[in-house]
Amino acid sequence: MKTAKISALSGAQACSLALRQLRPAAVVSYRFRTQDNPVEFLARQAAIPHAEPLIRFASGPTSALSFSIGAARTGGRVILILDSGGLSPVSGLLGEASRLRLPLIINVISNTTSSATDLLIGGDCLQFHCTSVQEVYDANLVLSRLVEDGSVRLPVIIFQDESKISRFVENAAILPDSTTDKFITTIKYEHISPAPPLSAVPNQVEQKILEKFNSYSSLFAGISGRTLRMVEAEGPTESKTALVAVGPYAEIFGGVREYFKTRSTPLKTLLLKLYHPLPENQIKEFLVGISNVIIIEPLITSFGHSNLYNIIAGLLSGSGYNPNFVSLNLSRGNQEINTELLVKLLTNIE
Amino acid sequence: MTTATLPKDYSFYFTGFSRRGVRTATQILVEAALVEGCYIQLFDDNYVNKNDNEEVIWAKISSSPFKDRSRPGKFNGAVFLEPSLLGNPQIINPLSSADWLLLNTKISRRELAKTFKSPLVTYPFDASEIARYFMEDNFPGLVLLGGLLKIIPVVELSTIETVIRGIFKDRWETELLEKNIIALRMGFNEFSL
Repeated sequence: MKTAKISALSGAQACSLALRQLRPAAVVSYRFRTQDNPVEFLARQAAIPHAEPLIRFASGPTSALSFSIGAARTGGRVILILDSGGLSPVSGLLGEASRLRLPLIINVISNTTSSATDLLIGGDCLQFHCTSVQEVYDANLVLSRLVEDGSVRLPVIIFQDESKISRFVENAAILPDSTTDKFITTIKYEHISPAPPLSAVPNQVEQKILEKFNSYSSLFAGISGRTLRMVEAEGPTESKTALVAVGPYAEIFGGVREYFKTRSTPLKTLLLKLYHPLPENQIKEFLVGISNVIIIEPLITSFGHSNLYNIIAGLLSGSGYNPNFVSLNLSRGNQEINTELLVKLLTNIE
Repeated sequence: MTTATLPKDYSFYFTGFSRRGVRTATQILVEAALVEGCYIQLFDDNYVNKNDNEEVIWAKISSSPFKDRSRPGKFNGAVFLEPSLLGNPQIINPLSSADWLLLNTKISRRELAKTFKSPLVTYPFDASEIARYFMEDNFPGLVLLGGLLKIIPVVELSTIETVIRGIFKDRWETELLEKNIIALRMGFNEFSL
């Protein structure tokens, strides 16, 4: 195995290196905000070619996705780069990409104000929320391989938080092209030939995706020494109180866990990275014996409040567990305030 | 890559006017730390503060992996490329709990001590004069970086030189590259604690 090169990279840089290694046939992007947006950087860098890919800056998010769908149907690997503002209007059209079983690789740079929509996107897209620069790189390689698997073939949305990842610089290990070439599938025209519709039993499809996720993650570990995980569970098993959140809230967990280390009631945390399909069994196993669950979700002003809370509460409804639920809607903006708020809440529960 | 053996973890911020080399100097330092086997974090605070004229870039360097990715609550020190930024309350606020300040200025240490009280140790250094002499322009970032290595011996001077050559060999003319390296060495040689 050739050694990976450790570099100081921002999330956008690491992502662009992974996307280049995927050797896309087309890179399509639309940036919702016009000023100083990593979307354009990412698109331009990703398109720096080994073989010249097509790069297209679309006039709107719908035209970007429509173009991507068209390009993917011709048989090439297509990468779509959007920000949250651009993702929101295309959620309906994403369903079309799923129906056509197109393995689009969609990278979304999500920011604090529009993060709410990240968890509401419908369609049968896989959704993965990265928690570090390294994970953006790894996720692009592993998940592209997963969605191009003949039995999966669905779009994947890989989210990276703009302030915590896209613009954040930290150590990241980048594999040599010669190594990733052996891992990445060579797309063939027949890959995009008509595929059967998704199973009428969604749970079976989702279970298959979860199994494939683990097998490609293990395969990737063989070349990189790192596994991509769907969830991260931490804390002692005897804990009666648990925090559950999706990727970008990882920052809050550290401070709260540190505080509760010294308390009589230790804390368990579950960070969900793969949001769709939701790793339901792992969530259920994590919540066994828990009396109080706090679910942290984005702050939304219009609709869709407590989406994750409702899903998890629904999951447990038939299982015999009946913990106390607290649904907490937090902005990702101020980590210190969020941590303080959570510590107060948890102390009260205690 | 060697294994880093830093005596402690470092957190600091560089600040100055935009397009004066603030980001470049910080990036070079963290890249050098990375070459020496450290873990690094760097973030551009301008994205948060939405200020186009002034830059604040914070960095953390450690010999072990970081437990979090948040802005440091307490900085060890700060490097000011532009002394007038001492008038910006938002930028100087973290100095209240910092250990040292490296300031690009002609003002004497005694004068500075009247403004900044102990335990903050101030290090005035006229880096602009050296930059103007060697680079014919006011880009004091690398000169200050040379001086900084005396305050926090976080990496070897030679590693920084290697990193500069690695990053800029394709972007800068050879003459400009050498001028920058001389400015860095002069900063290191001329600065005294």
